[in-house]
Formats: sequence, structure tokens, C-alpha cells
Amino acid sequence: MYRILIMSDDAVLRKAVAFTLNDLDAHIECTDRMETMLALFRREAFDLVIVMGTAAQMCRHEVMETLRADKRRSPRVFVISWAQSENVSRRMLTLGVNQYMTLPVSLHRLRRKVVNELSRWN
Amino acid sequence: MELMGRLLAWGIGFLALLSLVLVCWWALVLLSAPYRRRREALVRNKFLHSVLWVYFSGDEEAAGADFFVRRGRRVVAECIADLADSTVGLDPEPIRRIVRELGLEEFLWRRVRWSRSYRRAYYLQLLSKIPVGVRSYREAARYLHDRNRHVRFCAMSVRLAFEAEEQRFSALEDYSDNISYFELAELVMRLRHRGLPVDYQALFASPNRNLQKLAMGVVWHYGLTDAEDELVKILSKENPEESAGVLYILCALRCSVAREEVARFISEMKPDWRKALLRYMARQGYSVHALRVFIPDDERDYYVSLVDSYKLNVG
Amino acid sequence: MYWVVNIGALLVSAAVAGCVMLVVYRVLQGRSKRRLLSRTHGVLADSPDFIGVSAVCYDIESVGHISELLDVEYPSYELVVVMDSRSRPELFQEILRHYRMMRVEYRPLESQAALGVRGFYRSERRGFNRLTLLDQMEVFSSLSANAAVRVATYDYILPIEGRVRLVPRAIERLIMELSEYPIGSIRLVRSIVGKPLQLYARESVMEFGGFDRMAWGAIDRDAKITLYERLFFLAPSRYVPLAAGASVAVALVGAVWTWCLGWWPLTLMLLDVLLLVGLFAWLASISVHSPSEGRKSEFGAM
Repeated sequence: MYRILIMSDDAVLRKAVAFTLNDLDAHIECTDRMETMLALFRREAFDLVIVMGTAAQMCRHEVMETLRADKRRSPRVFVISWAQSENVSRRMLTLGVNQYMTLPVSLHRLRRKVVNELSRWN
Repeated sequence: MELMGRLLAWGIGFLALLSLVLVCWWALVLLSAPYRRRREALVRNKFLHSVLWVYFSGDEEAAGADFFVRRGRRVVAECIADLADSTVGLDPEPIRRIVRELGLEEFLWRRVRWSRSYRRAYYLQLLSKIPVGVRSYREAARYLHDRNRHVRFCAMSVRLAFEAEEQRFSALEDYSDNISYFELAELVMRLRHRGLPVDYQALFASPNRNLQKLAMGVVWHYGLTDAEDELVKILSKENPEESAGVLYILCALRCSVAREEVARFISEMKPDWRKALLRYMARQGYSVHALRVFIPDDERDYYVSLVDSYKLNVG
Repeated sequence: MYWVVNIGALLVSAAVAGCVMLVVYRVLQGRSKRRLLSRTHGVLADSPDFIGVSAVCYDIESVGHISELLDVEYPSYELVVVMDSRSRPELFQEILRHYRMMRVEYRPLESQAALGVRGFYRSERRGFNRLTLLDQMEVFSSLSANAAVRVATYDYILPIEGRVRLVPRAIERLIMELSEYPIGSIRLVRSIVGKPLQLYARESVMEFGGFDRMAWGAIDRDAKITLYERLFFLAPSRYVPLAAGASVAVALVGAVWTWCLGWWPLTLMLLDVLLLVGLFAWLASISVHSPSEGRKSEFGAM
């Protein structure tokens, strides 16, 4: 069973994405704050982390360091935010994010990407 | 003296009452806030679960609309607006049915009529994001001349949302204000959301300034360097504000600034504006050589120092 | 003379009551506007990027503080931190280590040289290219903000003091406000709720010769904006509630006592004091940082 962690301060988006992935063979945890997300991640391993609504917080030193701490089982990281500029998407990919998508997001497309990414990784 | 005494007594009474009213209001807001948040969260969760179930299970019957008691309709409208903002590609039919069953359109119009200023704009904004009918298109016209600019813009957005599927922009043509960059950003975002192609050349050709500005926004967002000639045509001294915007967009597209019309306009700009533009050009990577045509000597050193500073940007 | 005192007391009370009601009305309007704008995302997604803000922070408290100030989604934003490496060497070294800062050649962006600047640092890492560190001697502290203005990239400067935090989406809120007006027309934006915030047009700072020389009254009315919503958080102080509570108690007891004694003009004055202290207490409560407040606050803490 996959373990998926979703972070977004927007309750509607969080719920929508969690529902989209609900029927996958996955356990889904949701949180609204980056600090809570990192604390959850330190406690248990996740296969996929989806961060929504923020790209700036991903630049924090401790975020990618925590997510990539275990080299043997590093999760896939998706970031979905409002920023459209090329600089931001390049910065995310340089930081080690696996997928950067912009809002508004197609839930069906996001689901396909999650399924592809998880099955390829396994 | 008696009159004075009465006036003082009235004054004391008024101040005491005002203090009491303000304190009671503050206490009420503080004490009711947690309860209100809990109730709204419950309504939001139930509604989202219900509507997402319809989308992903294909089951046409959503959870009974009777759950959403009258007092939850604002939260439901906000959820629909948030869902519309953050997602794309969802079938609008289930949402249309919910809007009809709950009477959200009438509910929001009632709120619009009974509120003022930014609260009115807020409800109009919600209306512009939910599927509405021709009735809203007609009702919104009443608020196009409201005193508050945000109300006018949100009323125009309601009409534009109705027209968007037919690729008409008559609501924008009828808008009485010159759209600001804030409003332009909102309009471009909504157009992008709908994924409809926009004939920017037809917009540039229009005599309406708002349509031209919309074309500028589309060109900037999609990086359409083909539109350089249309942009340069907008440059004129009669229109300094929009011309300044055109210059920034030309720089964002990394077009040549040595063109005669562009160079002449920049050299005639106010020094403060020119300095700000030079800073932007340095960020976009224009070399000193590209600008030597029109920079006054005293500003050349300034620009050289800017360019050298950006060369030190190790990011 | 007695009637002069009475008339004076009535006029002052009327003015105080009018001001209090106006401020309350404006702050509630600000709350409604914030709620309206919280559902707009165009500024983040599709806004032309020529309006930018350089935040200048002196008296920084910790690396965590810098991280919070960098948590701004709006792309045309940077943070310039000014500090004296000799007066706070441990914090300085920690910042250099944490953000992998390297010393770069200092080139003032304006023709005048800033005094007391020892070094200029930028990060090697792409994720922190919005951060600039200026090592400047503390003895030049009255000029420190002005030195940072000279190295700032963008057209608007936001001075931030050490203890203060930005409310979520504060920068986006300022950009929304600026983009409602023609380019370059606004020279000063201020918020008077809670800790006062002032956003200056860079050219205005240079014209006046520094932040401390900029006078609100010297700027054209059309070129300045006043906001009635909080954009800065303050760390809570235990003295403010104590002082407010003591003032309210004294004013209330005094008002009742003077009423009983028939000294009604004095009663009016004390009620005015009560009203004003209550207003300041309300505004201060809005500006206090709540640890449980998430990034998305729906209405602000009203």
C-alpha cells in the first residue's frame, strides 16, 4: 500500500486532491502546515508528497533536506502552485522536486501523473 | 446652565452607550468565532465529499441537497468558487444542478442587494465563479456604475463569465473604468482558466482601451513576440501610463528597444520612470550596448553599475 | 468660564467619538476588502512582474526569522538583511553557513558610496537567490537602511524591524494595492492597524535623503495610500494588556466617581480616555501573532 502525504493550506484543494486519490491502494494523510508535514514525514515514511499552494516554502533548507534524508527511500515530490513563471519551475526542479504543476490543476491529470509516477518508481 | 447640564448628560450617556456597544460587539465576535468556524468546516466537508463523489463515482445522485440548510449556502457558494478557481476540466453539470437545487443564484443576489461596498463585491465575485444564467447577466448591469470600483469590476466579471463561452468581450467594452493591472491579471487568469483561444490581434485593432490592455496582458502572459508591432503602435505621449506598460511588456519579451519609436519615448520619459525602467531592463538582461542609443550620459554609469550588479547574481 | 470648559469638553468628546467610529468603520471595511482579495490569485499567477518589493530587515533575530521573511510567493520580491558581523558574530556565521552565502564584490547601485559597509553576500544556492546580506558597521545604524536601499533591486522598499513578522500574503496584498493605480504613481503605502507598516517608492527615499527624512505630509495626497488592515505581526507583550487593563480600570472608576461628584466635564474626558484605550487595545489585539494561525486566514483575526 502506498503512503501519500498532502500539504495545502486551502481546505477545498486538499480535500479535492485527497478524494481524487482515494481509490488508489494508498493511505493518505493531509495537513495544512509545512511544519506539521515535516514532523509527520520524520515519524513515518511516505512514498509521495504533494505540496500545494506554495513554492516559496519549498526553498527552505530543511524541507528538501528532510524529504531526501533517507537516500534509500526518497519519496516522489510534487509541487503545485500558482506561480507560472519559468524561473519558479526551474528553481523547483533544481531543488529536486519531481513534478511541478501550476494551478488551476486538472484533477484527472494529476491522478494520472501520480499513478504513473508511483508505478514507475516501484 | 440647565441646557449645558442636559448637553453634558446626553454626551456622557452617548459615550457610555457607545463604549458598551463596542465592547459587547467585540465580545460577541470573539466568543462566536470558534463555533462559526466549526460549523462552516462541517458544511464545507460534507459538501465537498458529496460533489466530489458525484465527479469521481459517476453517480448522478449527490447527497441530498436538504442537508445544506439555508444557513450553509454561503459556505457552499464559497466551496464552489474555490473549486472553480483551483481546478480545471471538471464537468460543470453537477455544479449547475446543485446551484439550481439550492437556489444559490437567488441567494447570492439577495445578499448583493442587501450589502454595500466590499461585501457586495464579494458576493458578486462568488457569482462570477459559479455557473449562472442570463438573469445574472442582466442583474449585474445594475452594479456597473456603483461607487465602489471593486463592485463595478466584479459586476463586469459576472457578465464576462456569461459571455466567455461565446468569446465575446462586450462586458469589457462597456466597463467604464480603465482596467488596472490588478484587474488585468484577474481577467487573464480567468481566460486562461477557460482555455479558450483569444484573437489578440482583433483586440489590438479595437479602439477600446480596455480591449487593447487585455491584448497586452495576453501577449505578456504567453510571450507572443509576434505582437511587437501592435505593441509599438500603442506608444504615445497622450497615453503615458499605458505606454509605460507597453515598454515593460516589450522588455519582458526581450524585444529590441533600439526601434525609433521606442527609443524616442524612453528618452522623453520622466527621469524617475526611466530609472525604474532601466532597473527592469537590467533584470531582463539587456546589455549596455543595447541601450547606448538613448541613455543620457549621466544615467549610463547608473546602468553600467546595475548590469554589473546583476552579473554578480549567482542565482 | 464654566461654560467654555463645558463646550470644550463636549467638542472634544464629539471629536473622539467621531474618530473612534471612523477608525472602527475603516478597519471593518479593510477586513471586508481583505476577504474579497483573499480569493484573487491573478497577482501570483498572471500579473506583469514589473512591480517589485525589496524588504530591508535590520536587527534580525534568528535564521528562522529570515526563513519566514523569505516565505513569500510573489516572484518579484527580495530580502536584504543588514547587520554588523562584529557585534553579532555567531548569528552572522550561522546565516552564512545556513544559506551558503559567499562574499561578492560590493557595487553600490547609486553613485554615492554607503558608509561603513564591510561586505556584501549572496547565496550560492538557487533556492536562496532572493536573499542578500549586507555587513555594515552598527555605528552607522541611522544610515543602515539607506545603504540597503542602494543595493535593493526593486522599485518599492519595505523596512522591517527585528521583532516583526509578515502576515501571510502581506506582500501580495501590497502588490494588489499598487497595481490598482497607474505605474509609478504611488510613492508611499502605509498600514496603521497594529504595528505600522510603510512601503516607500525607492526614488522617493533617494529624493528625501533617507527613511527618517520622509514626511507623510510632504507627499501629494494622490501619491499615498492608507490601509486599515494588519500586515505585520508583533510578538505579544505582557505589558500591553496590563497597561490597557490598568488604564481602563482607572478611567472607569474615575468616570463613575466624577459623575457622582457632579464634575461632568471631567467625566466626559475620562470616558473619552476609556474609548481611546479600548480602541488601542482592540487594534493591538489584532496585530498580535497567534502561533495557531495558519497561512490562510479567512477574515484576519477580527
